Amino acid sequence: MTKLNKIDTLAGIFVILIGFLAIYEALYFDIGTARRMGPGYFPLHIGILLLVIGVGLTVEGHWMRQKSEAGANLPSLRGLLLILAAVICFALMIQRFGLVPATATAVFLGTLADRSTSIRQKLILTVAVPIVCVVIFKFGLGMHVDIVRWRP
Amino acid sequence: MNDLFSNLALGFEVAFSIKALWYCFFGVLLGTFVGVLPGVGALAAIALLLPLTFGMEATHALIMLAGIYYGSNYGGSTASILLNLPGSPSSAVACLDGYPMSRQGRGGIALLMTAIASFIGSIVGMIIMGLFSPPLANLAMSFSAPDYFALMVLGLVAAALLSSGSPLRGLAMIGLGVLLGLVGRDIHSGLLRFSYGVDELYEGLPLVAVALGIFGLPEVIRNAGWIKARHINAKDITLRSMIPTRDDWRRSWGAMFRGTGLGSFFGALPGTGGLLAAFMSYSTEKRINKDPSRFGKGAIEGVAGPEAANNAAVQTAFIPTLTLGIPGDVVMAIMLGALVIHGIQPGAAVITSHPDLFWGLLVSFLFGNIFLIILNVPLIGLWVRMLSIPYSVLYPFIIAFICIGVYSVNSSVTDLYVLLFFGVLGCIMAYLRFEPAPLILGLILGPMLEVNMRRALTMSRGDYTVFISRPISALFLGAALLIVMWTLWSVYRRHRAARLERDAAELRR
Repeated sequence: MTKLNKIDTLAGIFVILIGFLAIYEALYFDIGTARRMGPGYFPLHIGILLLVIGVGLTVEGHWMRQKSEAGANLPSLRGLLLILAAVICFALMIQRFGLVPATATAVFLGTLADRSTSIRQKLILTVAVPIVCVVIFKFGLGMHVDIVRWRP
Repeated sequence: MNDLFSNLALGFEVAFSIKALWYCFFGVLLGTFVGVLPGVGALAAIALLLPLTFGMEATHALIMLAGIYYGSNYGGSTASILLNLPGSPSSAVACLDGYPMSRQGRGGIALLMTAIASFIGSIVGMIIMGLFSPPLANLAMSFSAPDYFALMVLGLVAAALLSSGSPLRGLAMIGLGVLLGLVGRDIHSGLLRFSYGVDELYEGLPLVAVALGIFGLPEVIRNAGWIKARHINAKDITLRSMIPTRDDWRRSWGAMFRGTGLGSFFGALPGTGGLLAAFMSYSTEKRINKDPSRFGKGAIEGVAGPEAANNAAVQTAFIPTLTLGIPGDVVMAIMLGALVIHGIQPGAAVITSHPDLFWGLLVSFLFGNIFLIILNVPLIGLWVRMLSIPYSVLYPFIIAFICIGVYSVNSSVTDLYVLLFFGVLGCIMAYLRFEPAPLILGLILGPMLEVNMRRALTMSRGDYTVFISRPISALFLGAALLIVMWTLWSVYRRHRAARLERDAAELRR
């Protein structure tokens, strides 16, 4: 199995899983009839549709053996984890410590994803970006958020 | 006819105020900026700015958001022509012949032709929007639930099959989007669906967080540390270098007008949009040209035609959005969200109940395009310099803007976790080669789809034939079926061509 076939198969399985998830959730509710649709009626049908599409994708992957121009590329794990960590830290900090600490932490973690910049450049960005954000969002647009606060 | 003039007068009155002109200018400026920058699309920019428009009048908000949209198309073509990097998906076509032109030292001419073609396409698209929207809205007044359901099915099928690489993948994303649209309270029963214990989701998924999560974060994750700084010589692009030869003019006129026609048509179809129009125009120009081998090597027709098509489509995409409440593409879907946030129920009644909004927006397109010409022809050097901002400086700003933008909508930390969730989903989708655009369209149309299906089936007492016994709904479903059949046919043809090629290769051996 080539790499592309594998991705098609995985994509099919992904869609089938979502279909099952939808059907599972829909069955928890009253399905009703076409005349009196319950809250589960529509999601159930979408779920079934997704199952069919997922099977179709899996089959297509095996059967068509199509040449595709670009293979999928996995983003670097380092970048992925660091940027997700940046968002998590922002979410954890924004209401406890305010805009500047949250933004600075997120930006610093984010800059670590790029290995081509020097530590000095990273630190400059960590200082500069929050200042720009305060000017734009707090002063420019009057966003309701504390610049710094202490409520751990 | 009198109506039209009084409406246009109203539009000028709205759009010619200092405030409206300022928002329009700001919108196109920002649009060009994000269009030129790598890795920041119009969609992310609009989703980010959506919260800022909450305090504005709905008309001004829409004028600004629309400005970002068509402005980013301009900027996107500039990046395509000079760097072979499409700043926005719909300007990918501009790379095909625009980049070869700039390598031959004719980049300035390509840029000027792009500006002229865009202007002509936009103005014609605008006129078509003004002429056809009111009658279409009148017609839509007589639509009932089955018709709306059928129209949405048509829009979703078109989006899935015509504008994405793989039909099945497009359909799967539509389905997932529709499901995500159901998250929250079911208006009929009041029950919470698909919320998995997160009660904050009862109003549905926050649109800005989903859009930025699925488009914005994966983009940053993919590009951080990978896009290298680029060097362009800003001195190469001068006003003098932009003057086209007589031959360039002769070749471009026809292409521009054909492109405008194609673009106006495809833009007005729900679910298609600029990219398809641009590709159609490109392949048309190539087919009718006496010497098709010039294409891909810097044929000016291949720049002028698709650019006109793209921009005409951008304007006419507002027709289904504002008259039927069916978005033409993802950006339009976000615009619909903006309308709803401003308390305007999208649909056939918008033109009659908010004439100032519709006609003001229409006239603002004229000013916006004039601003764009000023920004992009005499000031082109500025944007060329902007192209060389390294991504390593840019993306920390993007991360901060995404986080703050999402948080500022509801001051909700839950929204940030939604952003995170969809960021991860977006990465998985990118790995599996799913496109995110149909998902957003499904997300916006999902709830409306369910409501209209329920209404239609209640009306007909559960009889599904209601969708084909009404002429309007039958027409839409028929069109959807045609698209499905055309897709199957072209997949079959491609498959057969590939097999023939394989057989031929084996014979040679």
